[in-house]
Amino acid sequence: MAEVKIRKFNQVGLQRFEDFLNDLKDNPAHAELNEKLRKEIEELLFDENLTSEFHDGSYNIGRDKRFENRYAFGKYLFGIFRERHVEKETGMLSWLALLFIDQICKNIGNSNRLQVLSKYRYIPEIENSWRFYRHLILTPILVWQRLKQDSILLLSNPLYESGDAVENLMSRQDFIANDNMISVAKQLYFDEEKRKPKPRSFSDSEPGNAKRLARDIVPQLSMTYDLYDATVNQILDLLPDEFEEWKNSS
Amino acid sequence: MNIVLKKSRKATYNYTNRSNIRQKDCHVTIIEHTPEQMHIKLSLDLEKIDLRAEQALVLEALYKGIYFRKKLINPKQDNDIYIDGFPENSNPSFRVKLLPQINGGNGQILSASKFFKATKSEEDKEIQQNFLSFTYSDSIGDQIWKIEWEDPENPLIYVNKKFAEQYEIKTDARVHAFMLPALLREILNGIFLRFNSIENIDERSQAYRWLKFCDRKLTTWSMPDEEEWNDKLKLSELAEQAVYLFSEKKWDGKRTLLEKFLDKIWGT
Repeated sequence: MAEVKIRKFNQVGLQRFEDFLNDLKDNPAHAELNEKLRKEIEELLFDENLTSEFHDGSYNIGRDKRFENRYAFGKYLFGIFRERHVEKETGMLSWLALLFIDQICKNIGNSNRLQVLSKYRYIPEIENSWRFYRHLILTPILVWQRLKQDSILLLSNPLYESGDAVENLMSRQDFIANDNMISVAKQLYFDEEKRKPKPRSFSDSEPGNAKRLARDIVPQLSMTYDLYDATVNQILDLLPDEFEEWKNSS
Repeated sequence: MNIVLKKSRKATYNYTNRSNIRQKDCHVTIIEHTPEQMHIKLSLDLEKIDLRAEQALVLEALYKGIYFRKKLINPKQDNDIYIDGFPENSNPSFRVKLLPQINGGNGQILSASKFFKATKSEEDKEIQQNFLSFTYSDSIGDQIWKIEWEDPENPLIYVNKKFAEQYEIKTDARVHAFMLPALLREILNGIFLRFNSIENIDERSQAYRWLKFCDRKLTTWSMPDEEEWNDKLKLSELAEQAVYLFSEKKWDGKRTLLEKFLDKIWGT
């Protein structure tokens, strides 16, 4: 497997990357993943005027590696960065987005064309709390740093899906920061046998869904209960009736 | 713990009638935040909080999924707190909770503060007010920063917008190490060039605050006397001396700007 040193875009490089994304978005014909596009990507990735080695080249990455889902992707990236705080490394995260662009962009229909979505999925908007978690490289790293093996609950989808669920849950501090709360969510919504979330776990119309737990119930309970010091069973006991079906479903 | 919540209840509903700890009764000051550790000082008005023997106070801090908790065994003395794991320049939210002592408790909170942010130490504030009052500009070409002296008493520090977008210039140790000494040199020389006595500088102005900052914070530096104000060579030496002392100073008693810079480069 070919390994390369991780690089980062400088300001001009970031602008060029943004222009590149806009071009692919505005002209789907340009998004055909052919030799021409591959060459263009290669040039952008390693242009010395636009990029430089991240931390003097002390981080390597396998550029040809393929990933089954965001969980596997996050695990691999976590293996590289470990507990290092990378959330403010805009240039590096954007560079990785370009390196893996063929995997983090869905193909349009049956074609070989890449479907490019909003810019913030590829170039992180760190100061924007609504878009922060939508970056397709950063979020798998952050979720893995926070949840380790339990991140399968939030990262079972393909690399190109940023997922409403993960954004909803990651942005709820009293939910995501509480290990016991994560265990509760895993117990309620994760199918251990199939190694993926139970159907409709994140559906808004489903009573007691995961988003409702994180968005409404946890803030409500946190107001009066010290959930960080409560056991999983104590938290489960506190949940209202709408969660009964989830508790009992296997 | 088997209270059942109704679906319609709102997140703000305080159904156990727990009381509030007022924000003005708890205060966190960041003393120092290195790549490895955050040092804070917690001050609590224990009389107002009404802490009793069978109760315990807990301090929590949260930042992007990172959680810190400390039970304050002796709240009168447990006010110097060291926290690991929060990235440098992060701005965690803090909360104080009053709980029953663990053995007798049922997980119910007796009272709690809302989430609040820490304030910076006095020295940090001083720096922020003097040095870090920047105006971001896209009209200074490719200069990283530039000082505009249109109002000599209130020089404006322009910082290149493109540069500011790339770096956390108010908090990044690398930027501080490179920019601040040079800024101080230009500011002091600029003031000395434009005024011939401190008497001519309005005490409410930015220029006056820069001079007072040097006078107060740079231990062996003192304001030029009347005679020195007319000796441009002496003033230039005083500006250099201030820059030297500024660079030598261990901010918050711990590290110089260079040491902070090196920690930033090698410490993470």
